[in-house]
Amino acid sequence: MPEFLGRLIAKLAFRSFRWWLLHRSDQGIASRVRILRRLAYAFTGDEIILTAMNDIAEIFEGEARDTALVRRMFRESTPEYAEAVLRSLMRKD
Amino acid sequence: MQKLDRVKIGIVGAGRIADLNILGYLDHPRCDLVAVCDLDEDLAKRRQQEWKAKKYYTDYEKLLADPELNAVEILLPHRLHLPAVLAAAKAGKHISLQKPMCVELWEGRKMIEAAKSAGVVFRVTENFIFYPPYRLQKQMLDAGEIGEPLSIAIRLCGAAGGWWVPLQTWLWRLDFEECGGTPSVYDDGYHKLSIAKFMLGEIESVKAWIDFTFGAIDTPALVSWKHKSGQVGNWEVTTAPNLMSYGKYYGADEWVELTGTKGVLTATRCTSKLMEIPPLILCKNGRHTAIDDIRDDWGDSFHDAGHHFIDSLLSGTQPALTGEDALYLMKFWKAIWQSHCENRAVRLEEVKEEAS
Repeated sequence: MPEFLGRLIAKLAFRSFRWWLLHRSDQGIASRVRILRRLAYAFTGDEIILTAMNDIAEIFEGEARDTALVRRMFRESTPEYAEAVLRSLMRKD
Repeated sequence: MQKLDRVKIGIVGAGRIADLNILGYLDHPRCDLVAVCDLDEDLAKRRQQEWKAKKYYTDYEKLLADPELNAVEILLPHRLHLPAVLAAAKAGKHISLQKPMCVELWEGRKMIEAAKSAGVVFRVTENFIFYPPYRLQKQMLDAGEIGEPLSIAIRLCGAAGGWWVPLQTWLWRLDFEECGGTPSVYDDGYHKLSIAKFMLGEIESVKAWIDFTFGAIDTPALVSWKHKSGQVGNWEVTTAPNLMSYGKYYGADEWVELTGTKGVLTATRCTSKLMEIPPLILCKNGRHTAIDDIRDDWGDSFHDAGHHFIDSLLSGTQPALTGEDALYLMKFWKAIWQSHCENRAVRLEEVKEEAS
């Protein structure tokens, strides 16, 4: 795939994900993350992905103050930086 | 100050950092780990078994009421430091409190007064000043190895790698109100401010630029200051989320460079191992000397800080950091934040302790 196309898709995917995160309820996000974490683990085999998604589900099942902070951070993030953080979580340089 | 025959310690807060703070208490011949306390009962039980403590609690008031204990190490979130210290002082226990000391300056003052009134020892655990390469760096500085000191340059880079910290426990650190400040310049930065003072003494004024990433992470940032003794200092805070740091603990590292009239002395790591080079390097007379026959694991700093607390209680002396020293570092942070907000240099004497 040409690089520019890959970047365009990644940018659109991030913006879609960000819209979804900012507009769904906390419980809605938590339940979807719980469903997706097993799929993500089955697909990647990465324990860290499983742990991280578990933590994310717990965050959205917890305090409203925490989820408000998460939403603020996503609102102010960029696709490039979000990708860098995701790769960092997965211990990929 | 009264000497103890044996230190019988309780740990309040069994989270991630307890893995390090516990080290010095486990292998000292005159220290017994009596109890562990955490709100999470499963965690408290697990730590009790792991560390072979006698008992566990889920309520620190009950731990503090235990007559078998004579000292506590408090490892709680910042907003809980004041009530825990006041309760420990009231219970007559000697206190070691994890940095940063407090959220507001008046809290720190209250802690100092409570400990003094109760006649208990109070110190703030600042492990960086016990990191063996930094201690040797300071000894070499004081011995004149690089001549008269001119400046200190500290660099912090948040990188990838390290142990897993639950995402939930990162969140309160990113919330200014909950944390009491910003995650890098205040929470982690307390260590760097401590090193600046440890190496070159008190600060006269500071100037800070702090940008934010993701709206909550205070990097990149640049803090500059002037010491009362005339030297200048500089601290650069950056994040490289895809730069791998090959360390056991947090994915971040720092290096401290002292420049003098006759040479440069650099400690090349602390928290992690971003650079695979000797931990201390002296450049002088056109040559460099690598000093690598020295303990340089970050865990050693916590171990030695724990031993220092125990040894101080056994010898009846005041351990570092004293309450006043710890409060001074809080004022350093407050001056930095004020400088960032007001976009001007701030003298430390401008920072006043608020009324409670």
